[in-house]
Amino acid sequence: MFSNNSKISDKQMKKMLVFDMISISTLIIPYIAASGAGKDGLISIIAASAAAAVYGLVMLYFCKRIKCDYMEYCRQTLGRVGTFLFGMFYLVKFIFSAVFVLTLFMTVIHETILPGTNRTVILISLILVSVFYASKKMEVRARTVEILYYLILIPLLLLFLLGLYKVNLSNLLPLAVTDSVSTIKTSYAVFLTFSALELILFATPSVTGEDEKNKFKRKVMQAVLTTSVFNLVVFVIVTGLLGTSGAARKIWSTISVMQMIEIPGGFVQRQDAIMLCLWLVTIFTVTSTLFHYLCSVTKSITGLRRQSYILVIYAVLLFLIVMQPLNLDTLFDYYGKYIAYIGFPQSILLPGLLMTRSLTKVSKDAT
Amino acid sequence: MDRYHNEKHVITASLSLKLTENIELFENIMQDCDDIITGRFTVGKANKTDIYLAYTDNMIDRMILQRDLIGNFIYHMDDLPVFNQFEYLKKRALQSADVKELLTMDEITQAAISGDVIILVDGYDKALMISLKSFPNRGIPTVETEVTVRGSKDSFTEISAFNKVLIRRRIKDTNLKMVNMTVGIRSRTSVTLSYIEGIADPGIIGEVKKRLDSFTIDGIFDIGMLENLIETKWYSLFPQFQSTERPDKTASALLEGRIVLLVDNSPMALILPVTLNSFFQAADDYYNRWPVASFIRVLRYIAAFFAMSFPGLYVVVTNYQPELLPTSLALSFTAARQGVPFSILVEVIILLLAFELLMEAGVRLPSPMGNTIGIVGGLIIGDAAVSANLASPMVVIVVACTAIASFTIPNETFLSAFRIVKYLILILSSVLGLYGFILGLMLVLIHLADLKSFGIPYLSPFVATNLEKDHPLSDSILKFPIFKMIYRPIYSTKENKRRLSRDKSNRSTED
Repeated sequence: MFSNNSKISDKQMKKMLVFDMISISTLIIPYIAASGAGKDGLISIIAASAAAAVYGLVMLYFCKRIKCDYMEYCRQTLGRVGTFLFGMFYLVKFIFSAVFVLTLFMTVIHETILPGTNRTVILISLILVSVFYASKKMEVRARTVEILYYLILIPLLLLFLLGLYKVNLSNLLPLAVTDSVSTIKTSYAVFLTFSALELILFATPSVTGEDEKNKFKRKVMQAVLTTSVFNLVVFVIVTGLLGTSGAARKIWSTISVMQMIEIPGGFVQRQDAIMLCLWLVTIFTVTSTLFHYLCSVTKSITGLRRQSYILVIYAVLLFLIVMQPLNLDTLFDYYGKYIAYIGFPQSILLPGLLMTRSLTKVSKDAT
Repeated sequence: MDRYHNEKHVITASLSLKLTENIELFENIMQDCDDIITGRFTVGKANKTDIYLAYTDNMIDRMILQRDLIGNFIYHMDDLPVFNQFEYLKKRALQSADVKELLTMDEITQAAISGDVIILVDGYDKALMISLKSFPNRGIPTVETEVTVRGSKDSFTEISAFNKVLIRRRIKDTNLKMVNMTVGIRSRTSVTLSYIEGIADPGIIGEVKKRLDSFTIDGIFDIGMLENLIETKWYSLFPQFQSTERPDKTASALLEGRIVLLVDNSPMALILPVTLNSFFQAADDYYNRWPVASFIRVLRYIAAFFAMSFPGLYVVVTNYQPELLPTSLALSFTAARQGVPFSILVEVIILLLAFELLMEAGVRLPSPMGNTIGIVGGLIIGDAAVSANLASPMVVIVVACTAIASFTIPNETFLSAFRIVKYLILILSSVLGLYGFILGLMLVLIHLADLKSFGIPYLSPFVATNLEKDHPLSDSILKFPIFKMIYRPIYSTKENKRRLSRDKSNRSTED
């Protein structure tokens, strides 16, 4: 009989990574790239993708050295108190990310699909479904993404490509007109949208079998490539249609472009609703991923076992935070700065410190 | 529990060597069972002995009883010896291959009320059972719910023995096992576990047996009750077993490595494990040409989506996102609703519920009146409701299309899930528009992704594709030609995956 082991395959892991990355990047990358580097946003995206590939390899290197559950490795290396402090860094990051993601999605849904509906209702439903999704095992989440992967990505990509013939090339060319400092800064900002790759550290123990772990490297690179291609297409379409100033006007300028693309046949008048529908599906994977890892880290550092209680606590906490009168632009700014100066460096430094401590511990024990 | 039965309703009273005591015990246990016919005979000439015979009226073949059994006892027992009379009776008197010794009163009473003839012999604390079963039955009926254009038309019947024959005729393999079990401490219903050894996964076989042993119940009367008792996610709307009345579908499932449960008195077979995909497969998909079968399969998947989501989608485009449709279409929707006093949600729910009532009434009504309900429901209620402005014509179309879409699903238990799911999606759509519609679909998808049937993901072969490397999608949304379906699906053991090989040298040179 087939085993009930909460393990997933490398293919499933790849698809989950792609969804985690593109659900937000599709929305905000045109804004980041256009506002930071103008037409050279294209170069920024390419550079960011290359950096993301390297980042993925770094994360994989850490996974190879750790070989077991990440928080368990923390406990073995740092003890309980050390693990608690370590875990707090990740909890803060995941909570901040969840607040940003929930606020962004709630605002987008409110302003595009449900202008007459109370935000609280939207938020509660979003949190409830995300918590329900997060309460399921890794296998269930992986299977859901497997089903949705081609059902969502291909139509979304095709719908974006329908806008290709309307692209004004003068909005995209010439390249290399922006100063290199801005381009590099923008590359870094775009690169930060790939920060979901850090989750490889937590997820690798769930990938089944030794062979799968070796193939995993290829799958991670494929995930980065798929996301990069998507980002490039979206940037080209959005900036090509709206121009750099239009793309930089709103955080989710992608939505404005969705309203401009026409589906041939004339059966559907407002195709942005369909595209939003497709995109909406991906947001649940991101929010549930964040809930899942919040739960997982909390269980590791506190010793609590009942996942349902932890999920309820975080659901209430995040609801209370998100319901504060936060301006999305301000929140985006703060979140960007947090990820840029703390979030991303922590993703390299913490595992690095852990590994260094582990090595010193091993050599001390040896002597 | 009483003085003869223990807490599991097994008769614990022991047999005696004296026939009179055994008769008294038997008749006390069977008191007021006037359908049990008994008779006492003295057999033998030089050496006589008393025997006692019992059976249930109208459950046995009386002609064989009188001609072969009683006739032998009366006319051919002159040589009855002094000793070993029991053995003599067993070998010489009973001209039947289906004879068995019974050692307990529980077995004896069970045999008597199950359609066998039991014989007690004086001086022995055991009995003989002769199988002369001849139940009243309706023969081999024609399929009623899984009708196909091509393929066999015979269907399972209430008699488990006949059902086993229907399967055996199709699979003449010594590895086809039929393991008999008993479920229900009072009904003692015979349940047969059938599988092909070497193809079916032994782990699943063991798990089925474990689940069948995991409960004690008074009685079961249908496969549906057994299904409810052994499924794990009992709260799910989606079935975790597949029931069918078709022997060919059952035989095909066995060859795929699946396991079949047959319950006496139930004209259906239960097939497990199951995946979502198996509910979209109909028997004549394999008898028709593959492009047609593929086309119809795709249609079924689309229809299933519409069966679940059409009412919700209608509410979304009329209430929240009318701009989704071309202006002229949106205007005609609005014009059609002129004068309807209810909100769209109420209107849709009223018509959906009216349709559900019609369906239930149609099932319960005797067939001469069945046509009347179609006329009353379809023409009078539908037409009158629109004329009276209680519902708009568009809603009638939506409800009708939803119903038609749901009836394309070949499995009745599976389509029943959509009857409830569509209300969930409808309510979410009416509260939160397109966002609510997506929420509903996500909830259904997450639930389906969580379901497993004996360890196999419900959404196979669309998920966990690493588990099934060889042509996992050859019999899913598209149905490949039969010569391309070389490997068995995910259910079978890895050692016996291949089910078809072709000898290229013997291929036709026509082309």
